[in-house]
Parts: sequence; structure tokens; C-alpha cells
Amino acid sequence: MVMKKTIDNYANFVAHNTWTICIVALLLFSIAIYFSGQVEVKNIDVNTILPQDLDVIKSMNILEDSFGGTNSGKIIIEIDPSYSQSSEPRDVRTYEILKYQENLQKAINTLEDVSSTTSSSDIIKLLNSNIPKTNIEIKNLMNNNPSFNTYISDDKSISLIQINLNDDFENSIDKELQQIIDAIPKPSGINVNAAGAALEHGAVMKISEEDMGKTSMISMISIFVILLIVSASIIYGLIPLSTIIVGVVWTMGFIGLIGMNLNTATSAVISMIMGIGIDFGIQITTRFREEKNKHETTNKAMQVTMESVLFPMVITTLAAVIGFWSMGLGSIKVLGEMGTIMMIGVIMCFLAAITVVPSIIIIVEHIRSKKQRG
Amino acid sequence: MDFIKQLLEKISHTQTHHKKSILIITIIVTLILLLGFSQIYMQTDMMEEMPQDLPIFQLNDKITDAFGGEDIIVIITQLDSSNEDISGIKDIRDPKTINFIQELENKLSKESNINSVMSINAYLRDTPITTKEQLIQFLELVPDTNNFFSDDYTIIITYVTTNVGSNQAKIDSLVNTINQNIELVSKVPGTKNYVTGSPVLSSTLGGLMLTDALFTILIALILIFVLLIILKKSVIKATIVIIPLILGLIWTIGLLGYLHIPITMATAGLGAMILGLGVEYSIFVFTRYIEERDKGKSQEESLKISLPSVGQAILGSSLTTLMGFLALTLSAIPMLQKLGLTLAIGIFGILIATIIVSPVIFIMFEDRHLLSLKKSKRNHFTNK
Repeated sequence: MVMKKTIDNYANFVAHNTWTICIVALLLFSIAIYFSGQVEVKNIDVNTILPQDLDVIKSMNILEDSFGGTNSGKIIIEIDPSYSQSSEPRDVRTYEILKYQENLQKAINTLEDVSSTTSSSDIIKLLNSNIPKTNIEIKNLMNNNPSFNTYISDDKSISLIQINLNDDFENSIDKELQQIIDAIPKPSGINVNAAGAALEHGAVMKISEEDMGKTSMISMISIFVILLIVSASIIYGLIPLSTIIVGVVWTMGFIGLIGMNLNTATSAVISMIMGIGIDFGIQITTRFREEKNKHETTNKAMQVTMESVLFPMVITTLAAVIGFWSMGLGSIKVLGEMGTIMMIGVIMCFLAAITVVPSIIIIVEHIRSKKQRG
Repeated sequence: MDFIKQLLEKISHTQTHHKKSILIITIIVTLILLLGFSQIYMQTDMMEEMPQDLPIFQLNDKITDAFGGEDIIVIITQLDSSNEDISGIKDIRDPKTINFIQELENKLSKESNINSVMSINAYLRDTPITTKEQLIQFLELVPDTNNFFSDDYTIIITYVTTNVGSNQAKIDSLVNTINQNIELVSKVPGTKNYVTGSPVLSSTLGGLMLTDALFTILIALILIFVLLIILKKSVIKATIVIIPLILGLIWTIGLLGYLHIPITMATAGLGAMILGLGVEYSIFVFTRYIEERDKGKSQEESLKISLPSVGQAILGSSLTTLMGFLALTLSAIPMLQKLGLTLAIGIFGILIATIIVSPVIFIMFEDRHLLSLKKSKRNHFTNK
């Protein structure tokens, strides 16, 4: 009885306070846009998504604390295959290449995110105090010395510069490395590129962000097409979309406000929230169109609509929240984060559906009736 | 839309007249799909789930090809600060540690599942070391050896390379082998050993993903069941609503097995997610059916009215949800493609179970007098 009374009161409130609800929703929307700007897409680190009390994680942390982070980049210097018929070097063990490596390292070491670099040039200098001018001397120093195996491939066509990065390195490191590669004159007949696991992070994050925009847009367009077909009306095809537009922005704003971020796995949540949240908008618009013909005024039709759909919507939301909340009870953090974001998403879409959607419907209907009267 | 309505009406007719056949087919399909469970596997290698066609991944593959890309397991030998043994060593640069590593390396090198062992031993083979001073002097002469020691000389590491890949059983067996060999070698007093590295992390992750998947399904199932009991005020009604969810879940997991779609970090919560999302379909169909039965209509009439009306709404609603999930299959990241596809299969499975099987379950529960309707309408039970 208490619940029914609450629902009735709310339905009455929504039907008679359209503009107030609209203004409050718009205000929250603007605040949410600001906070959503603070949400970043981070990379998944297996070490941090697992429970920290596991022995394997403890020992991995010991390893990282004592031997530095696992964030490493590389500069790969390889003989350009297109030069196979030329007289250019076919072996990276040359004075020019070792000197070039030395120059690259000097520049790379000045970058804020770089803690150190190592290459075959460093080992040569340790063995000989400087880089020998002749290739024969270089090869003599390198032959039968296993220290060079880390930096020079067996067929001598590739040389690596190992770059150790600070733990909190910026994803722009790939661009900075590329600028250095472009700026320092290189010997002819070689290809030089930045690589390494740390740069994969940046590339994946960039593609995750692009993906998030692309899949969300595809999701919204396909949902709109279905709504157009089902509702046979542009206006009533568009109105339910406000649930997911407002719901998603509120969700992102809220997770930004509580300091959460997205990662490669959770970047998919926007499309998923859209797919789930649109149901709320559809339920209200469909029921309103049914009730509109049965009642004299728009406000009465909306009041009846809200009285009929609110309870099932609460149940649906509750069931979905239980499902998503359960995901957080496991030990893998990323699953819990996904569950939390989805849970927030469903709640926000529910709130958007019971506030924004009825308000828009009432405003649209008032405009329509004014036009008809006019 | 008329076509869908007609189709749903035909389905409701079949459900009333061929309920046993539908039930037998459901049992057979469920059993077949249960067999698919054996083909389910966990994808714990994050790299496999990344867009391998990006230039950075191709470059890194080139480096792996040129410099070797085996899986590396790390054995950490660390000074044990809690050890109060007087004979315990206080600096890891001790001949006892070197002997331990040499002996361990010899043993591990003989194991079939180990490709190679890389340790400080590589530098000391031709240099007999008997005292700590000799060792320290040698290490200072060869700076490369520092890579095996921590800066404060409390840790020394040994690398074990293998090709076990991401197979959890093989990784576990390898870790056991390493631990057994560590036990066989006489321990250096005042030290402790750990085995870690990416393959061990992957194996741990795989184990946790499986337990998490099962645990979250169980919790979601129990909580949703409790919610249904509260809402429906009946254990039987809650059971009727939850059966299609369980069937849909079994079908989904079985299909994933047959289609070789692995469970990834993103999809480990699949069960909990689709239970939470799918329960509404089952609630709507059941509630509407009961509504019609309470009005005094026969089973066939009730189904003929409820299934087309609720069925259309559910189809529309699930279609939009499916679109949201299927949009992810266009992602460039394999992990997200699989997430979208897996969830879409899940929602589709529960939708089919709800529309095709759940009405048969209502009827069968009613026929066995397990489902009670409003008292005044009980005389309609026999009015099939």
C-alpha cells in the first residue's frame, strides 16, 4: 500500500511539474558533462586486477619493486629489406649504427618518462671505452659475447634499444619517441621504429576510445531505426532515445564524480547501457500512447501511465542491479568495476526514464495541442 | 508486426497441444548443449584479445620472432628477514646461493617442459668461486651480472623459459615441477624462494575467472530467486519464472563451447549479467498468463492472448538490447567483439527459453496442481 501510494504521488508530481523536472534534469546533465570529462580509458594491468594478497602477486610486486616496473619500450633498428641489392650495410654491427644508437639514446634519456636506456652501444663502450671506428673491431668485440644477444638478433639484421619507462609514463610517449626518430639523422638503409609493450598500452587505449565512440554511435543509430519501425513515428521514435542520452551522460558524470575510470574491458559499457536502458523509455512512451486515447488530458494519461509502468520498471531495475552487483562479489576487480558501472548505468537510465521522458512527452503533447488549436 | 503476432499465436497453439513434445525436445537440446560445457575454455592471455593488426603489435611480433618470445617464469630467491638462523646468509652474493642456483639450473634443464634456464650461472661457468669476496670481485668486473641482482643485494633471480602458452593445466604442472625441484635442492639458510611471472599470473587469472563466473552466477541466481519469492509470494511461482533463465543460461554456455568462443576477463560475469537482464521477460510472460487465467480463461485461450501481446513487447525490447550488444561486435578489439557476441547469445537464449519453453512449464505446473490461481477461478483448471 505504501509503495502504491508513493507511486501514485510521484505520478501526480511528474504530471504537474514538467518544467521543474526538465530544468533540474538539464542542470544535472550539464554537471554530468563536466564530470564525464574526467573519466579516462586506462589499460588493464593483470597485476592490479587480481587480489593483491595472492602469493603470485606479492612475488610479482617484489620483482617490480627490486628490478623496476615492467613498463618498457624499444627502438627497433632493422636493415631495410628493400636495400637487399644495394651496397648499404646488411649487418647492424657497424660504427654508423652504433653511433646513431648513441645519439638516439642521448635524446631519449632527456624525456621525462624515461628512466634509462640500454643498447649494444653501451656494452661496446663498457668493453672498449668508446665505439671502435672499424666494423671489424666492433664484430670482434661482439663475437662470442652473450651480452649482445639481448640487443642484436641472431641474423644481425635487427638491433634494439631498450627503454625503461617510469611507472606513471604518459601515453604520448610514442609520439615523443617518433619525434626523436624523425629529428636525428639516421644512416641510410635502415628502418627505425618505436615499439615495446608499453607502447601497446597507448595504442590499445587510443583504439578503445575511438571504439567507444564508434560502437555507441552504431548502437544508438540501430536502436533508433528499430524504434522508428516499432513506433511508426519520428517523434515517438526519438523520445525514448532521451533515456539513453541522458542516462549515459549521467552515468559517465557519476563515475567521473566518484573517481572511477574505464578500461579496455569496461569501455564497452556505453553500448551495453544503451541496449538495456532503452527499454525503460520504450515502456513509458508505448504505454502513454495507449493511455492518451483513453483519457481527456495529457496529464491524466501520463499519471495513469506512470502508475502502471513504475512498479514493473522498479522490479526490472532491481533484478538487473542484483545481477550486476553480484559481479562485484568475485575476486577479479575488472568484473566488479564492469558490474558497478552497469549498475549505475541501469539506475541512471531508470531515473532518466521516469523524469526526463514523461516531461518531454508532456511538453511535446502540449505543443501539438497548441498547434492543433492554433 | 502482424506476422510476428500470427507466429506467436501459432506457437501458443503448439504449446497447448504438444507440450510433451516441446518438453522432450527442450530436454534433448539442453542435454546436447550441456555437452558443450566441456569445450568451454578460459582466455587468460590478454594479448590474444588485443587488435593484432595494429602496426605496434606487428612490430612487437617481429621483435619476438628475432629475440625469442617464450613465456618466462621467474624464480625469486630472497633473503628472509624474518629468519633468525645464525647460519643464515646476510648478503645474497654468497657462494651458497650460487651453488643453489647452479644445482637448481641443472635439475630444471633436464625437465621436458622447460626450454632453457637463464641465471647468473651463465657468467660463472668457467670461473670457480669459493669465497664471497671472490664472487663480489667477479660481479664488479662484469656489470651485466647486475641484471640478476636487486640493487640492495637481497634478491637474485633465475629465468625459466617455456612454451606452455596459456594452457592452465600445463602452467600449473610446470609450476609444480619447479617447486618440486626447489624442494629437492638443499636450501640456502636465511633465504626463501618464490615462483612468479606472466604464465603464473595467467594461470591464476584463469582459475579465478572460473570460480568468479560460477560464484557470481550462484549469488545472482539466489538473490533473484529470493526477489521473485518476495514479489510473487510463492516459491512455486518463483521457480516457474526462474526455470527459463536457467535453461537460457545452460544453452548460452553450451553454445559458447560449441562455437569455441572463450570466456574472457570481460565475459566472466556473463551469467550474472544475463540473469539480471533476462528475468524481466520471464516475469512479463508469466504475469500476463496468470492475469488471463485469473479472468477465467482456459489455458489455450490465456496463452493465445498473453503470448502474442507480451511476446511482441519482449521481442521489441530484446531487439534493442541485442542491438546494443551486437554493436560491440564491430569493435576493433577482439575482447569487446566477444563480449558483445556472448551477451547477445545470452539474451537470445533466454528469449527463446521464455517464449518457447516457459508457457509449457506454466501448463505442466498447473496440470500437476502445483500452481494455484485465485480461489474463485479454480474451477477453470480443468477447462483446457
